[in-house]
Amino acid sequence: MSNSEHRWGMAIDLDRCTGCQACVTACHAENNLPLSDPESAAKGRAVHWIRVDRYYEGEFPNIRVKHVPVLCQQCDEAPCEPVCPVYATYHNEEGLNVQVYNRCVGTRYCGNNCPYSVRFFNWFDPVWPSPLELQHNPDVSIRMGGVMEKCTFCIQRIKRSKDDAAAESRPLKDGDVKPACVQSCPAEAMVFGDLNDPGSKVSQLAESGRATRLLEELGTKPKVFYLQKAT
Amino acid sequence: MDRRNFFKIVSTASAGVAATSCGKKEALIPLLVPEHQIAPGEEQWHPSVCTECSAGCGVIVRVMEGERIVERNGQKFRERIASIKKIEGNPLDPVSSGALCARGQAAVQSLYNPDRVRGPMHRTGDRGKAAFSSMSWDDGIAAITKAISATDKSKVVFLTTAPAGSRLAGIQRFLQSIGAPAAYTSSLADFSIERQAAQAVFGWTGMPDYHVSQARYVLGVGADFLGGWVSPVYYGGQFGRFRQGRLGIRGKLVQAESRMSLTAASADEWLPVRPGFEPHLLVAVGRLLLEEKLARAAEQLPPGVTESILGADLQQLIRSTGVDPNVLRRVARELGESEAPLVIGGASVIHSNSFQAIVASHYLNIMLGNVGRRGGPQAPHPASDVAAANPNVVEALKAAQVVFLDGENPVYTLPPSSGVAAALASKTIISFGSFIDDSAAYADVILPSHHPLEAEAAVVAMVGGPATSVAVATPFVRPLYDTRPLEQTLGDIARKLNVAFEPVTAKSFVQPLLPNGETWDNVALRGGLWLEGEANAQPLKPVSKNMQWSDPTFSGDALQFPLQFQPYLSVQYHDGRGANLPWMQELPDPASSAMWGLPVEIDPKTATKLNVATGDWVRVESANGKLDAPAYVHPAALPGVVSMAIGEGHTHYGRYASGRGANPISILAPAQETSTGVLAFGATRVRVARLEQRPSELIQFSPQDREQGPWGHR
Amino acid sequence: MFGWRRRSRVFVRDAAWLFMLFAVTSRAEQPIAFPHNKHMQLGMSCIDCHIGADTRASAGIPSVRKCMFCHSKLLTNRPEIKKVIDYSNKNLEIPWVRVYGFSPGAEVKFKHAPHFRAGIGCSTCHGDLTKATVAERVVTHTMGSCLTCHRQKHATEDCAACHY
Repeated sequence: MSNSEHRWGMAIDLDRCTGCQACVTACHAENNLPLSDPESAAKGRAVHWIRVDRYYEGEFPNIRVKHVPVLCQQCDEAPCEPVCPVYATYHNEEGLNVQVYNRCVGTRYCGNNCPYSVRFFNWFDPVWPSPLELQHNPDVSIRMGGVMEKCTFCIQRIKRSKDDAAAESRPLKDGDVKPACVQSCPAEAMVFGDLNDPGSKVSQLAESGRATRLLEELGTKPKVFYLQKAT
Repeated sequence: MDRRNFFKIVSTASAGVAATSCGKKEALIPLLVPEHQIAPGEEQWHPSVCTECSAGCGVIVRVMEGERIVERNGQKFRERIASIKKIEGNPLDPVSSGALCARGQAAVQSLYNPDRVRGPMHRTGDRGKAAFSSMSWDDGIAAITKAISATDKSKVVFLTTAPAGSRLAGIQRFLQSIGAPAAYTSSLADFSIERQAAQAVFGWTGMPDYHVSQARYVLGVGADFLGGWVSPVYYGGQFGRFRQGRLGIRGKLVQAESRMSLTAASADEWLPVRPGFEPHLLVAVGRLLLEEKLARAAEQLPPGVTESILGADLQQLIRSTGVDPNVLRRVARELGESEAPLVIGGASVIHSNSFQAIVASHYLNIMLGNVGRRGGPQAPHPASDVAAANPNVVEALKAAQVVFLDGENPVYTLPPSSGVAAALASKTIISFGSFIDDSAAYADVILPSHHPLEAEAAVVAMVGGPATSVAVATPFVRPLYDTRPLEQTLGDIARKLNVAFEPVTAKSFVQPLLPNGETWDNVALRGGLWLEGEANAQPLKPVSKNMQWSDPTFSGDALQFPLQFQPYLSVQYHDGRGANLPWMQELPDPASSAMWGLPVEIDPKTATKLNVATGDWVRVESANGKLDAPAYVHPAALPGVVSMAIGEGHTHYGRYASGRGANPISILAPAQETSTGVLAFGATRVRVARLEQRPSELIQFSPQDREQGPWGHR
Repeated sequence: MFGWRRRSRVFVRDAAWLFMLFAVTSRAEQPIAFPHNKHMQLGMSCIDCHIGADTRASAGIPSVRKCMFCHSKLLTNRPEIKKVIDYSNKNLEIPWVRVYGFSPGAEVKFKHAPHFRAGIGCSTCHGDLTKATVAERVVTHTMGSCLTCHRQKHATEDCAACHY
């Protein structure tokens, strides 16, 4: 694959996750996600780069609930990439599945082809009643109507951490980079790091016996690892 | 406003800028704050404290440059201001440990909410209609002073959401100096039953702390500690370490609750206990522990308690809980055999006998010998006691002449059947809040305080005892509007009344708690004062000597109203105050994935009987009122128990909350918890009927329903 | 169909961006005829006034306060300096006109500091200011010029290096 220095990946420990959705709001705050309203949400146009799926197993009273945070799986064999007619979505050297907003022409083929349903189309220019726009993170673009968007693994945070390390002339350490969702998690269920570094926490968790990947049978090779509940 | 329109304003404001061929230009128009104070693209992090609930999480706030357009003398200026971009947990703070819940992070949307009150106002229309026009601060303070001097001071009622800390201390001191009774709270989330139970059993004042992370086996009863109870951030962190933070040790959580809460969903086993039979379940477990000689510290129990537990009819107790007897016996054995067992009792839904349940949970911990030890309940820090918890708030409000509202919303949080909303019509009401909510709509005068993110504060954490944990905020952004710190307003009123009043500042609050060698400057810089507390290794001698349990009582005739109704505190709306935050409105509800509205959760059997499917609208009717809402058929709901999260159904609360959905509190009977007098909001019976019409859709966020366009049919 | 119409409209707008990417005023009347050359002849360096160009994302535009460090005493009778003093007295900032920058649709996140660390001199992108007077754009910035340089220096050519 790539011989780049980093290969970013994530591990989500379902034994720790409580389904509290702190990650969802953290993502909204960090990434200038467009605000929905009841009308657009009813049409299925609400945007959440990360969501917490909820599954019921069994029947009352022996019923169990499973919470699974789902974000872009940053697949190594991403089904969204080959279908883009304008190469607006592609794989970069660090293994990120990148969406270039101003190259996107809005065919929505990628969203259609994503088995995880984590790509979102901006039907209109986003609107924030003033002064809510004061909250916007200047490190992240405001996406215009007509383009797709999705989780970036908080690429702006990766870059900031890299710049900080470069300014201090030191290598990036494991744990230096934390996407907003990982940072916010009270139960510390999410771990982010470099899969190229065998000593990183995420690499070790990905190697642990509990690690699985979503819809692995599709051959998408996701870089998000789910650590199943221990019993 | 989009960037293009923004630059239109910019170009009109800066004369003399040459137009260019393509008509676009970017002029640096006059700035009111020079750039050297806030460098573009640079982030600064300031410590602060979250006041979205009373837990008292220390936070850090990301501040970067922002711009707003201001008008001065008819000319538009672009003003560069320090604006808040993001709120994260303060990594130094033991409550948040660097993390933060969804609502805490959304507090920035309350600061920048388009519907904030921008200056002092007085009422111009009928009460409850929210017609106001602006007034000067001097006039506002004069009006309040007049109202207070003309009234009997014992009939001044001050309602506040302020957690233990400098703000509350200042309010109490003000009330004392004018001779008024201590502050009240009307929130459903002050956990006063839990406090009173800890006081009754241990003599503790405040909320006990549960060291979940050091326990091996946790039996939670009625306390949704990973959801709406006390602090999901603190207990979420504890839970993560409890499960996977210790090499080779994985804690097991068994949760007994009458709802599939977030805690029940995260548990290894859920015991669906019938609503109000939590005391019975706990007594049954206690009896099993004693019988099987697994109560390792049984001698610590007061003899009266042991006697009453042993005198109970075990079969009948277990039968009444609705839990499988074999499961309960096994859980009791596992709990008793565990190296570090812990019982967490709480009242996420308050029934008529919730106090008994929590008292019973404390006795269980005593007989398991874990009180004050690692992995057991800990005494709270003395400063965390909240004096604002007053269960007689309804009577006080009815008798009041002058009512102060500081963030509280009694018209929403107290049921209409209590008569509070009607009684408020004849009072002088002064609101210090930032929003015109259901109650502020009744106000005569609104004197808006600074938003908590613009103000200074010291807040004592509700959890984390016995260690000292005080989070501190010092102001770091300029207030956006014509608001004032509450301390200043209270000081102005006191001066006008000619009473001596020394305002409480964050500094003056923290100073007496400082140990030798510690300075206020250091505390302000770090955002808090955190001191190790001595865990009390000796189990405390119980204050109370006996234990009782009684069957719950429900208001409403069981034949007419066959179902039990459970409103509950959710992670996104808390006691309803999160509803004006658009991020919370669009946050999929953990139970139903609902956005922009909340459904009524109905079990599949009842739903089949009523011919109701998810998305159908139902009418929920009690003897005291009715509400219409969409239904969500919840596969894990208890048969015959209808639940609904509190949060929607505000008559007034800004554009995001007003007129949306229904308020489950609005149909409650004025039932009381028997021992404490607190509103028992889980003690109302209802009936449910399907409505033919669907006034609007139940909006759920699920990937299957996502609009994929014409190619999206999979 | 709705979808097709919507798409074509979006596409037209996208195409327009290609030409408007760097459509910031190249030559503009500045409020004060600031002579870059004279200041540089005095031995000042760029980052004396444009602070942050070496360490931060953006190079600062000096505030009027910074001008007044010197000009509260120096050359106070010159007509252009009088304008500066006037702004300062009115407690206003000077409405400088930006000549380098990105239009919002470009969605570029440019950072000065990494370029400074890589040893790219200011003149590479901003021209020889020892000869310039008022700020004007003398070097054309397009995605092409960025990429040419990145290729020459074997820097990253990843889209996400700048667009995110």
